[in-house]
Order: sequence, then structure tokens, then C-alpha cells
Amino acid sequence: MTRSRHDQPSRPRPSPHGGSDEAERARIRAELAALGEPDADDDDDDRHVGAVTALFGVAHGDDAIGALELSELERRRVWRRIDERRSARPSAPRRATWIGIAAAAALVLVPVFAPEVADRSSDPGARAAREALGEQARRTLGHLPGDQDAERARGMADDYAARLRGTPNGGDR
Amino acid sequence: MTIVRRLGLAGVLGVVAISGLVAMGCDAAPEGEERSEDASIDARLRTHAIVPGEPTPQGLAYLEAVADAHAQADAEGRAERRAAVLRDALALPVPGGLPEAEPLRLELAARLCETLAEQPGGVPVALDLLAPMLDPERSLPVDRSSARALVVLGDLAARSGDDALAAGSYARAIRVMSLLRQELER
Repeated sequence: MTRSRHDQPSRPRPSPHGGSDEAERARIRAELAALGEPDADDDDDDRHVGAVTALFGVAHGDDAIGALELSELERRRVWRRIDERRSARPSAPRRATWIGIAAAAALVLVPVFAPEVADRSSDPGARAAREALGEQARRTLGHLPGDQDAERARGMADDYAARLRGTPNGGDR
Repeated sequence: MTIVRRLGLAGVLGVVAISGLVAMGCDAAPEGEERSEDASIDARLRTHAIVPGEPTPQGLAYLEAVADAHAQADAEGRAERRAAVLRDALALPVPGGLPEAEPLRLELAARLCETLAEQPGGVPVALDLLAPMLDPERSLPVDRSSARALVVLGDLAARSGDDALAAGSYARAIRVMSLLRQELER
């Protein structure tokens, strides 16, 4: 959209302040010099005028363009403000850098400050499967025949003692 | 504030979102190899049968000492005292030529770890004690004590959030019990 407007050869339009184009340009150059701004060459000027016109067209509709009468200096100022605002936003690489820094910080800080995060965020499906496996293991163990702990140790000691009594050295004890 | 202004609201939200994703990624990946599901579950099982050795008086003394320790632990009401008794029993030197000591030691360790897990901060201690004894590289006796110890290890790992170790331990316990059933059916 703006491209087509940029491509159009822009001609200096009659100034609302009156006077010839040359006089108008001289006045602009003088004002720019007073502001300490560099003078614009014709190409830049044309591009700025085209861009600003396009922006006004977007904002107000094409019909409004003809009704707007900004001096070229005013247009330049509008465009400069737009440039300033645009340059204040971080560029894509700069944003990517900040995101990278934040990601790296998260990598370092999350395990330090929230070690329990791992537990909280683990996959619920995997957790459910693990719980089912545990339940099955405990149930099978419960149905397994045989004693444990004191009964098991005592039974093993008694069997061992009986075997020891049956051996040639069994009476040493 | 400068950063916020420079990034804008969308940028800040993007950073927060990416940080969250990275945090979740932390959980699933790097510990990744330890923690994530299929990639790190170690369910290897090496087993051996217990072949009773020639009985000796020293062997009998050891078995009786372990039986006494269990009985003493049964009589202890406080978990700390019970743990101390079981720890002392586990530290008893095993006489040579006593394969029967292996399942008894596994039972002692399992019971000690169950007792430790009852106490505040006891789960990591219990894991440190039991996990090396049941390392997948080590051969375990085909015995009820192996299955029980593996179930206890699975429970401890689950409580500590290590799903992979928990699942691997439960799976190994079930395989040990399957082997035991096969032996019983012979």
C-alpha cells in the first residue's frame, strides 16, 4: 500500500503559507538549520512526504488526504517522531537476545529456587502409570508366601542350627 | 523498568512464557536422562539363586543376631530407636561362606529404610542407603527380600519425585516375584 504511494513521483505541493516552491524550500532549510537538523535532499524529502501521506491516508481514509494541509517541515517532524518511536522499540535480534537471557536465567534459577517443580510438573500420564505399577508390585508382594523380618530371620536361624547340628562340627557351639 | 519498556507488554509476556517452557523443559529433559519416562527407566534385572553354604557356628551366631535385632526393633516404639537397632544389625560383619546373609541384609535394609522414611528428611537418606544395594548392575538373589526391597525403593523414589527410578524398581520387583512364582510352581 505504502509502496505504491512511495513509488509515485511526488511533487512539491503548493504551500499553505503561500510563496513559490523555491521560497518554501529555502524557508524549510532555514528552519532546519535553526533546529540543528541536517538538510534533506530531494529524494529523502519525497520519500518522507510520500510516507506521511500514506500514513494519513491509512489513518483518515483517502478522502482526508486532500483536506490535510501540512507544510513539508511539519510532515518532516511527523515523520521524525515516527522514526524516533520506531527506533525506541528493540529490534528483533535485540528482543531475541533478551529472551535468550531470560531463558538462561530460568534454566539456572528454577532448579535453585524451586527444586520441587520437577515433581509438580511431571507428566500425569507417566505418574499414573508409575502408581499403577507400584500398586501391582505391592499387591503381588502381599500375596507372596513366606515370612519377613523377625519371623524370617528366626526361621532361618533355626533351620541353620538344625543343619549345623547335623554336621560333624555342629557340636562346637 | 527499562527492559520492560523496551520489550513492551508482548515481549515481557513472551519472556515469561518462554521461561515457563524452559522451566518445564528443565524438568523433562536434562535431569531428562534420569527423570523422563521411557528413555531412562532402568529395569535391568540380574539374579542368582542362593545356594546354602556349609553351616558354621559363626554363621549361626550372625543369623541369631539378626533375628534378635528384628525382635528388639519390634519392641521399640520410637522410630529413631528402631532405626538405630536396625542400622547396628546391618553393620554386623558377615562371616565368610554365608550366602543366607544376603536376603537377611536386604530385609534389614528395607525395614531400616521404611523406618527412616517415617522421619522428617528421611527419604533421601533411605534412598542413598538402598539404591546402591539394588543397583541394576548388581545381581540380586531370587528371593522375597529382593522383591520387598525393590518395592521399598520404588516407594521412596516415588516420594522423592523420581518417577523413572520408581517405575524401574517396581518393574524389577514384579520380575523377581515372577521368577519366584516360577520356582514355586516347579
